[in-house]
Amino acid sequence: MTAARPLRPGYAAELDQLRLQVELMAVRVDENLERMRDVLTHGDRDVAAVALAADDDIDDMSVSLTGRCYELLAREQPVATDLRFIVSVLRVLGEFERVGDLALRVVKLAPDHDLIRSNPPTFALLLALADAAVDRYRAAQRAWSATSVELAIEVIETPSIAGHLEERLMSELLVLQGSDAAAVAIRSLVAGKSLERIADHAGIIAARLLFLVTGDAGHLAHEVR
Amino acid sequence: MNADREHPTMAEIRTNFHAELDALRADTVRLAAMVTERIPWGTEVLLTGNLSSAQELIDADDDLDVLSIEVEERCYQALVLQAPMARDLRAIVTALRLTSELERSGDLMVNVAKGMRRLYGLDIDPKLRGLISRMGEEAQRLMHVAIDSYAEGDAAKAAAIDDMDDRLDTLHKEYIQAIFECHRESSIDLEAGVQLALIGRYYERIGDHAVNIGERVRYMVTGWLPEHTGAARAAARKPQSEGIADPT
Repeated sequence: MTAARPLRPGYAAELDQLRLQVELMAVRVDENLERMRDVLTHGDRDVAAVALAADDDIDDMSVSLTGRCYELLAREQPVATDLRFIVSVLRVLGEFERVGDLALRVVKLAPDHDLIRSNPPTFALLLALADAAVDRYRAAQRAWSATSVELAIEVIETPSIAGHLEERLMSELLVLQGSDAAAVAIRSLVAGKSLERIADHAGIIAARLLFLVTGDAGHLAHEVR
Repeated sequence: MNADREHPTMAEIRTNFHAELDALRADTVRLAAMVTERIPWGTEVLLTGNLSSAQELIDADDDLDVLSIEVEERCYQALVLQAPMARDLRAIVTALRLTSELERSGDLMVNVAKGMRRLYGLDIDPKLRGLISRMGEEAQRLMHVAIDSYAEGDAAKAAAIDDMDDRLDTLHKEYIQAIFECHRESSIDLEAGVQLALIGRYYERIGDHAVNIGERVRYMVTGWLPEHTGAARAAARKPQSEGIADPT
């Protein structure tokens, strides 16, 4: 007896290919998050330039994969799990791209590095916030790549340290003194808010995965606040 | 439908489907109208320090959330039940993408209302008040144009939003500089300066959402996929020897 074969092997292969490409894009975003952390720590403008160029490639992948999703929707008219997969890909592409954009906001602060690190307590908080945001993103990325409900639930149910750190950062910034205080505070806050939102987007990626696997539209509510 | 027949005809199915598409578009426009009217509302709350109006704006966000989830679920149903092609498919995918842009824009005005509560009692410097007012007007104008382009299926209007957003970006930069000046002159303390800077960012981000809506509308009308500036730059960097760039 021959093994059961998919009815549309080309279509199944295309879905697998799409899944792999999305994973690849997530890895590219992860690499840029690492550059972001480097730029935030050392203010290295060369690394910042590499991150800017890498983000262009991420955008390129996002546009190309979005096109492929539309093409699959039109040509294959998917239903049930396949449809949920394609629409979920459309949404997580936006989330991955947004995480990349937020990382870039931090990278673009490279010329202000001396200003940002001029106050050691808030600078230390920013570095801790970057670690927390990157960790949460990686947990969501693992959940997505493994299509793991358990990992996704863990991301959603584990309170984000990033939010707590961002609140502490805000309190510390508000007691700064001196003529540069406003410039330091506002630039540090741009970085802090961006990092906190990266952690937030990681939660949305995990919720999208839960919708993809379970079909429960209740998980979509994680995206609205 | 004829009572003698058990099943609707193909023509009836298509008519019902197009009625559902019209309803989806109408609800997306309604969602956008709700968001657009919250921009001047939030600005007024901020500039007048009206706490009860701020609470009303915050509470009203639930309506936006409910409608955006409802539209999204109906989009999925339309995709599953009707297997739409070409323009119809693009219309559904566009509605799907617009809901999240609009829902997040609504959240930003809630943030403005919450920011006002943190600033309550502060006498905002006249120059900053003027800039806030102008940023609010620009954000509202951009959202108006974005949603008009969607309702009218006007790709040219949608394409113009990106350039229109430059004005809001310029105003935002001017606003941040004004905050620095006010702080240096001690007319505002640091806490107020930081809160005001955050509020400025919320308006700037509404402009970004309007630009995104414009891109989605262009896709809906013409099939054009947003050539993000970065994507275009990446394609330009590829050497000729790699062959013709992916047209998507």
